[in-house]
Amino acid sequence: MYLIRLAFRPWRMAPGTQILTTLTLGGVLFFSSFFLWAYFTISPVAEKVKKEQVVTAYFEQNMNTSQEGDIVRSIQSVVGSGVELSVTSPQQFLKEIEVLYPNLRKELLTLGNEVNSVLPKFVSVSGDIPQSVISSIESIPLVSHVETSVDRYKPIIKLFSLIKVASGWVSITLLFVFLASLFLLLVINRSYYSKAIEVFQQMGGDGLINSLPGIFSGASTGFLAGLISGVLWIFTFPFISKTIISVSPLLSDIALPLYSVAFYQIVIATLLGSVVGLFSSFGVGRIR
Amino acid sequence: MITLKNVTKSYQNGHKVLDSVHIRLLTGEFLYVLGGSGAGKSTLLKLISSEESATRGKVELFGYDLDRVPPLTMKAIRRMVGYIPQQINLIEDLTVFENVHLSLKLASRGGSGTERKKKVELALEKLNLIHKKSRICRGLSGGEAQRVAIARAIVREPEIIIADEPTGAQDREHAWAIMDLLGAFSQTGKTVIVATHDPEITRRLQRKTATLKNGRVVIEERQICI
Repeated sequence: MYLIRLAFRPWRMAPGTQILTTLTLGGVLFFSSFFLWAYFTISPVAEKVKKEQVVTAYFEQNMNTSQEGDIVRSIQSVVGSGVELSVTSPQQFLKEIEVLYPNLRKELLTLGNEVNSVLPKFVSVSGDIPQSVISSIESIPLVSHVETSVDRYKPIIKLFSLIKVASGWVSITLLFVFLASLFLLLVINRSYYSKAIEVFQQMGGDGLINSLPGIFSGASTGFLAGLISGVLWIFTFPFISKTIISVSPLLSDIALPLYSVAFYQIVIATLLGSVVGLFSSFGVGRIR
Repeated sequence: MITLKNVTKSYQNGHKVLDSVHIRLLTGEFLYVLGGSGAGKSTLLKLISSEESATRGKVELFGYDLDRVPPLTMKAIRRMVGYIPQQINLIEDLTVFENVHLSLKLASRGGSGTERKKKVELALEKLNLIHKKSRICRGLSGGEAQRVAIARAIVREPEIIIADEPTGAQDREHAWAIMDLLGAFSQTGKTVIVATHDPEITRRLQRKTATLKNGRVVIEERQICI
């Protein structure tokens, strides 16, 4: 009990410094956690994007509307109902090239009704499509040929891996900033009770007793920083994650841990505080 | 019990405070360390209390060379020593009772909680501090703080008491009470060393003296005459 009171001496002697530093530590821990979350969340999203592909099945040109419907149903049954499937007619094709290739569109329109026999009719299937499904689509009658775009998201995947690496480094750097700041605070704090530690040493107190005020001081500061970070996480993370998801539908499946992360922040910060507190106690007291 | 063999203490600036000091003190002996201000009395006591180490020579307590003793034995030795430093160094956030109680606890002595409480209260009574036992030490006067430091040392019933100017901040009445207490302590077989510059004290309670002159010690025997 005496040792705990000693550990809280800095809070009595210099409350402003303690409060300000603890708030800063809480903020640093929050951002460190955020980038760590980004690091671990990006991998499954990138993996999903990596598997994502568009398979285009082109129809034979000389077939009627009812045959087209049959092919679409056949493809849907092969890929399953959960996979997105879209049919592009010549009219839709012309509409799609309107902006990018206006001159080509004008030329095609001069063909009149013949345009239907010139322009390709195709079905696009997007999703995680195994090779066996692609082979099945190829074997459907009146499907002339099939193209896949496995590398469609290659630049995005590269960007994701870059963000992942950067997030990891930022997270580690912030963790070091957290530890260094905590250590610095605790070393300053120990000056408030180092005389008392000398008294303990002189009276024959053992190493643990000498270190306990430092451990308590570190654990309490760590706990408060973790609490601040956890509260920040609970109140701001839903907004941040919503903003991130709104950037792209590709990010719609990202993990959204809320209370578990807040809990871990408190536990880990308290443990780190205890360890840093122990280290900050080394060499305290001037007697041999 | 306490042996200093050819002990020299110099500080980093090269100033030699103690020069080839020899002292041998047996169980139950009482020694005054005399000398002017800056003569090295406190340094000598710091060496004996294991707070500092000698530059040269050997300091032995209970037969152990303090420079060679393993940490665990050093802690055990410290638990058998009651040191009253000149810089009182109380734990200011704690009450008078708690400061004294902590000393007993760190010495791993005193038995059960109730026994410890009784011992602390007895020590405080002896030093006329029982009425202030709940006071936070920050608000104590210099004399009161010094008496708390003495209570803190004697409560653990140490084998050796080392007191650096224990009456420096006391009025005469309290000074005599403290010296009587230390004198009674030595009569129970404990070894006591008191550094003082007050000749009145040494005249009243006559014991062996070690006078520091130019860093050297001259030992004089005196008769007990209370």
